[in-house]
Formats: sequence, C-alpha cells, structure tokens
Amino acid sequence: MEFWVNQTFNGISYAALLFLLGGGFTLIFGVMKITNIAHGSFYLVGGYIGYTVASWSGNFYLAFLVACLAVCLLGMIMERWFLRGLAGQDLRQMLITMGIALFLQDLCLVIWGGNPLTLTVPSYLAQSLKLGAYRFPVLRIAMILGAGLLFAVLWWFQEKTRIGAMVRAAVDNREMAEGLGIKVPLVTLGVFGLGALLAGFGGVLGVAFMGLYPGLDFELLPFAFVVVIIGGMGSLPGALVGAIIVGLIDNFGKALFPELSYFTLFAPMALVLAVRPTGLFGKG
Amino acid sequence: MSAAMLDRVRIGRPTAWILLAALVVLVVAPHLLPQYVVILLTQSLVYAIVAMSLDVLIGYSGLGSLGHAAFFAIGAYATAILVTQHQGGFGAALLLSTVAGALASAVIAPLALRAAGIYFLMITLAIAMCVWGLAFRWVSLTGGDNGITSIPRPEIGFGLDMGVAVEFYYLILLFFLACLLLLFLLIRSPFGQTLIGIRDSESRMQVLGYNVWLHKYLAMVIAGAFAGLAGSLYAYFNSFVSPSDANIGHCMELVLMVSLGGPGTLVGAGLGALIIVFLKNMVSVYTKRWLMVLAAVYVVTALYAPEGIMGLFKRSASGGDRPK
Amino acid sequence: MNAQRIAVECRELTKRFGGLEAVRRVDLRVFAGERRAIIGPNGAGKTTLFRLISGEFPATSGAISLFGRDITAMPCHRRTALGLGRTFQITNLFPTMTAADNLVTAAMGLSRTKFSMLRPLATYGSLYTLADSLLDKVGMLDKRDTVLKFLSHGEQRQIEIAMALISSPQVLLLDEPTAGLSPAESTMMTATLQALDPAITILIIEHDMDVAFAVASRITVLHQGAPFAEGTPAEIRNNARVQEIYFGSEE
Repeated sequence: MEFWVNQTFNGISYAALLFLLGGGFTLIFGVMKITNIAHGSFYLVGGYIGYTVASWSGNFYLAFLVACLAVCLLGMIMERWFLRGLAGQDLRQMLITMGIALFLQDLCLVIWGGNPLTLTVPSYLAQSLKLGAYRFPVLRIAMILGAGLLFAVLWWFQEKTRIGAMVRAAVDNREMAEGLGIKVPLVTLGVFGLGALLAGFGGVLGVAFMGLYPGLDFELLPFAFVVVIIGGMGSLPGALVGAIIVGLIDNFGKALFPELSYFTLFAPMALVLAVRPTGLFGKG
Repeated sequence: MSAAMLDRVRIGRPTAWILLAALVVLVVAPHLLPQYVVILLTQSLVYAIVAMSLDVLIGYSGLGSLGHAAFFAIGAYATAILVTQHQGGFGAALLLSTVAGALASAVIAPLALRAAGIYFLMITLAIAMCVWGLAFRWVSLTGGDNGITSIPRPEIGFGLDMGVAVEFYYLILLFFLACLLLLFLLIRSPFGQTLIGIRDSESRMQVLGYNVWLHKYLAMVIAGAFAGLAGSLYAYFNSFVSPSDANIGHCMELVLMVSLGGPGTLVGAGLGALIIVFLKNMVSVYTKRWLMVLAAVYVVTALYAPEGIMGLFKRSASGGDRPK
Repeated sequence: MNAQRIAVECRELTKRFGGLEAVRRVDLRVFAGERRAIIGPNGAGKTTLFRLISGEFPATSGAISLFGRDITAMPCHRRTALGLGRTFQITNLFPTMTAADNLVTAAMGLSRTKFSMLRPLATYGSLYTLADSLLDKVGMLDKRDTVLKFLSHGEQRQIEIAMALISSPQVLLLDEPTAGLSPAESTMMTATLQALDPAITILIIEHDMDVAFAVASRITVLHQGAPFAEGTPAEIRNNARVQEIYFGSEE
C-alpha cells in the first residue's frame, strides 16, 4: 500500500514538472504548428539562470521571476527573428529550432560548465509533511499545487478573457482569425513567449527538484512530446491529463520494470495514436 | 554509357560526367590521402547510405520522417549483439540488421502514418526517442549507457584484412555504390514515380486509384531496411554502439544531411553526409565550440538554402527555371 | 443510352462538419450514359457532394452506390477501380512533372506496374503511348515534354480532363472544368466535353450556365446542401424559384 501511495504521489509531482514543459510546448504547437525542439533548452536556460540568481541573491522567488522573464524574452526573440518568416514550412522550422537548441546547449556549457547543479530551497520547502506512516516532501506538494494553480490561471485566461479568446481563435483557424482583425503575429509572439516562460519556470523548479546538467534539455524533450501526443496538441487540459498519465506511468514503470520503462511510456502513446491520433483532447 | 541508356534513367550528360568523376575520386582517394581522411570518408559513406534512404522519404515521398536514426541504431545494435554475443558472421549480421530495420519500420510506420504533416514529423521523432530510451534503459540487452564495445571487423576472406583502414574503406565503398544503385533504380522505377506523385498531390493520387497509405508504408519499410543495413556497417566501422546513435542529435543530423545536400536529389544526401561528417570531425580539432558551428549550419541551411547544395547547382546550371 | 441501368445513386446522403451540414439528405439518381449537371449558388454543397461520391470525404449518413454496388464505406482508390473518375475545380496536377509524366502516373493508377521497383519507368513504352494518345485527344500532344507548372491555365484544365479519362472511367465527375477559362477556352472545353464517349456517365458541376446547358441532358439544382429542383435544361431555365436563389450571385 505504501508503495502505491508513494509512487502515485511521486508520479503526480513529476507530472507537475511535465505539465510545465508540455503545456508550453502544446501552446506553441497549437497556435503556430511548430515543433519546438529548443523547448528543452528553454527549460535548461531557465534552470541555469534561476540557479545563478538564487545563488547570488539568496532569494528563491527572485530566481523564478528573473528566469521566467529572461526565457520569455528569449522565446520571443527566437520567434520574431528566426521563425516568423517560415510559417507552414515544417522541416525548415524544425531545423532552425534544432540549431538554436544546440547553440543554447553549448552556450550554457560555456557559461555554467559541465557539472550538475542543484539548488537549495528555503528551509520550509525542504521539509516533509508527515501523514501517518507517510512522509510527503513539501517541495513536491508545492510543485503540485503550483502547477495546478498555474493551470487554473491559464485555463481561466484562455476561456474567460478576450485575449484568451483571440488565442483560441488563432489556434482554430489562423486565416479566419486574421480576417476578423486579430493581430495574429502579436498572438504568436505572445504565445511563444508564454510557452517559453512556462518551460523556464519548470526549469527553475527542476533545479531544486532533481538538479540540472547539460543534456537534460534533450533528455526531457521526449517526455514533452509524449505528453502532448497523448493529451492532444494545442490543448492545455490535454497537457495536464497527459502529464499526469506520463508522470504516473514513468514512475511506476521505473519502479516495476526499470529496463522497459521507456516502453511503458511508448505503449500509451501508441495506443492513443492507434485509437485517436489527435490525442485525448485534441482537435481536428 | 550510351545516350539512350542515360535517357532511360533520366540522367543528363553533364550530370553523368560529374558522377563519373566523383566515382574516380572515391576509388583513387585512399592512395592520395592520409589515413585519417580515409577513415572519415568511410564514415561519410556509411552515413551517406542512411541519408539517401531518408531522402527517399523526405525528398521523394514528402514524408518528413524525423526518427530515421532509430532504424539505423536498431541495425547497429542488431549487428553488435549478434557479433559480440553470438559470434555471428558478416553475412548473417548484414541480413539481421537489414531485416531488423525493416521490421521495426513495419511496426512503427502504421502508428506514424496515423497522422500527417507536422503531426507526422513530431510523432516520428517521439517514437525515435522512445527507441533511444529503450536502448538506454534495457541494460541487459544493450548495455545501457555503456553501449556495446569491441565489435570486431568482419572476416570476408580473400586474404583481406578489414582491420586495415584502406581495405575496409573499399568494402564500404562497394556497399555504398550498391545501395546508391538500388535506391536510384527505386527512384526511377514506377514505384518511385508514385512516391513523387504522392509528394506532389496526395488527393490526386487517391482519385487516380492509388492506395496511398500502402505506398507510403512500403517506402518507409524500404527506407528502414537500408537504414538498418547502414547501421550494421556502422557497427563494424565504429566497433562501438551506444544509445546516442539514436538520440535526437543524430535524428536531426540525418535530416540536416538531406536538407543541406538537397532533398529529392538522392546524391545530395550523400554530399550532405560527407559535409557534416567532415565538419563535425575537423571543426572539433580547431575549437571546442563545434556544436555552435553545427548550430550555425542548421540555421543557415534552413534560412537560406532549403533546396540544399544540389538544388542551388541545378538552379544555376539550368539558368533558372525555364520551360523546355 | 441504357435508360434502365442506374450508374450513380445517392440516398439521403448527408455530410456534417461540426455544426455545419454541407450536404443535407441528397437523393440523386443518375442513369448510365446520362449527362447530369449539378448547379447551385456558392456554398450549395456541390463540390462536397463530389467529394462524397469520389470517397475523399466519408459520409456522415446515407448511402452511395455505383452501378448497384454499395460504395458508401469504400476508400477512394477502390471506387476508382470500380470505374469512377474525377477532375478537380482547382487544378490538381503534378507541377514538377512533364505533361506526359503526369498522364503516365495517371495511367498507372489501376495497374500492377505501379509496384515495380527496379525497372526504370521510362522503359514502359506502352504507358507512354497511352499517355500520348490522350494528350492528342485533348489537343496537348505538342506540350508533352513541358513541365506542368509552365503550362497555361487553360492548357492545364485540358490535361485535367485527360488525366481523368486515361483510366477509361465509366462515371466521370467533372468539377467546374471551365473554371478560370477565357470565353474562347470555354468554347474549346465545351467541345471537348461534348465529344466524350456517350457511354460514359457524366456528372458536371458548373457555374457557367451556357456550358452546363450545352453539355447536360438533365440538371439537378442544389441549394444550401439540399436538392432544390431537378429537370431538363429547358425546365430549369424557366424555373422561377431557381432564378430566385441565384438572385444576387453571378451567372
């Protein structure tokens, strides 16, 4: 029993991280139909910047703020300068995002070196909550709550505000949105920045949670992909559900069948593709 | 080569001479160049095979298969395991790897083909990364992160020692030429023409009576087979196979080779392979930042040369687009 | 003309896209050898109907049969194998291939040759002979070696027809064959259409009423996805309700 509860909790807390990564990825994909290979790099850069700010200032929350803003800016620069002119040309876009990913990866290596980094969190987050026989690390609880809150905010934003409606319109039908007077270039810029921001946020969280090292960007990318494929491309609720599914499966898989754990990831993805190729919450 | 024969396979006279010259260079090279260049050439030829098979998908069928390195790696692992753990011979290894590549593709393609366009790109990449992860975690089979080492060169008899760089080079060159010929015939065959039709207009092909899905599927299986074969040769060449051979970097590098060389030209992919292999190996001698150089190649190719080098050649050779 | 044999039949054919019903319970019965024009204002669902018949879209409900055989669930390529051919409203050819290669590709559609993987296509002389004969039929033989994207619009429309004819279809769906053509080209196209084998059943969508009335023996009018009227060209021309639904739209 203890095993199941612990694994489930771990899976859900991992899912929080995956949601941040996958959520941004699915937003970018949904609005601009771009598979952003540099998405893991946003996570990485966010983590590194967050680490530096936290180490230098001692303020955990400042680290989040600076890292998120920096990565958001990075994302917008990338969209504006490199991707804007290539709408619809999938292969070229992917080549560019790959190039940028490699560049950022090497840049991080130059600046921060090759050693793994961890972040010490404020003491109140480093404890564990005791419930009977179980001990739940507060950091993980905070992650789950944080991600859940973020999802709620984003979802409310997307569903209940005018800007959110514009984003949804741009996702559904870009030409029609343009015809309605929606400034789609501004929407794509904003969404790309937001997606990057979410990944960067995840990065800072990730440093505290599981550390940071070169190559993590490409290691996490498959998870982002699978979250989005299962959850449905362009759908935030889908990213949440997908993240939970992937988080749980990966955790249980690693615990029960460590050698085949990637296969346990592959199976639900294959199932979703076979039955509903656009994902659980996907459109079209 | 008579004019009529060239006509049948649709090669222009100038192109034929260039190809002949390239062939001469490849044959003569080992006697003129230092050994490390010959080794790089060998590596280029191996990658040229898998890159050309990818061009069949990307350039000729319009299938952006981003996970192609997975079949390459599967072929490499198949040979590595057979040779190091079961003392398999050369012929058996080649066959196993080719079949493994084809089988893996046969299983994966129906999943990937559930989607089209950008979804297809993403799904193929995701599946390849699962293969990477499998290689990474299935330690008992693949050795995990340590990979499989000490793969010996094949014994092919005739008093030849494949441990000698030059002799191994000629073996690989033979395979490269054979694969080039086979892929070329495929492209010029009726089946190859159907792939081009599917690339240009799927809807038209459907109403013409083609089972488009089946043709795409066959193309992917065939490409997977060639990738598996190349993987086998790579295992022998490198004597070491690891999960990184299927990682996202390798997947995208193959795409870059095709794009840089020129999608839809077949030999362009080979040219791209040559350039990338030499670039990666030689640039790293001069700077530790060779990844940034590679990044620049990605960005420049995508922004300024999407038709690749062969595409630029064709453009200037025919004096721009001109009706006949 | 075999008046007894039904070539194409649609029964309560419906196609819904989300909330929009593009085709609503269409009943259609076209006899073998008949020339039927499908007309109607923009958005009437004419091209959608064609796509349902050819198999490009699956029907939401209803049934389609070809010479008595239910094809509702059949994929596109199998319907072609049963004798269906189609041209596209927006020219849908292979821009990088020559005219001859376009037709050769079309000719292979129903042939086992399409799976041949080692022998060069250029050695299949019979395919090229067939392609040439069809190019000749539409007056495009001199353009056989021209890459398609360099042909004029009118020339490409002629090749569209040739592409559909090369498989010797028994039922031909022509989607606005004169779209974008000059009056002179339209006249030439009309002549080509009128010269088609009388044994072929033809369904033609047209906005150009002169062409529709010249080619068709019977007209079906669609309005907002549903059948609105049906009759001979004379009856439709004099039908006040039909004129009404066109009021405000061109031709």
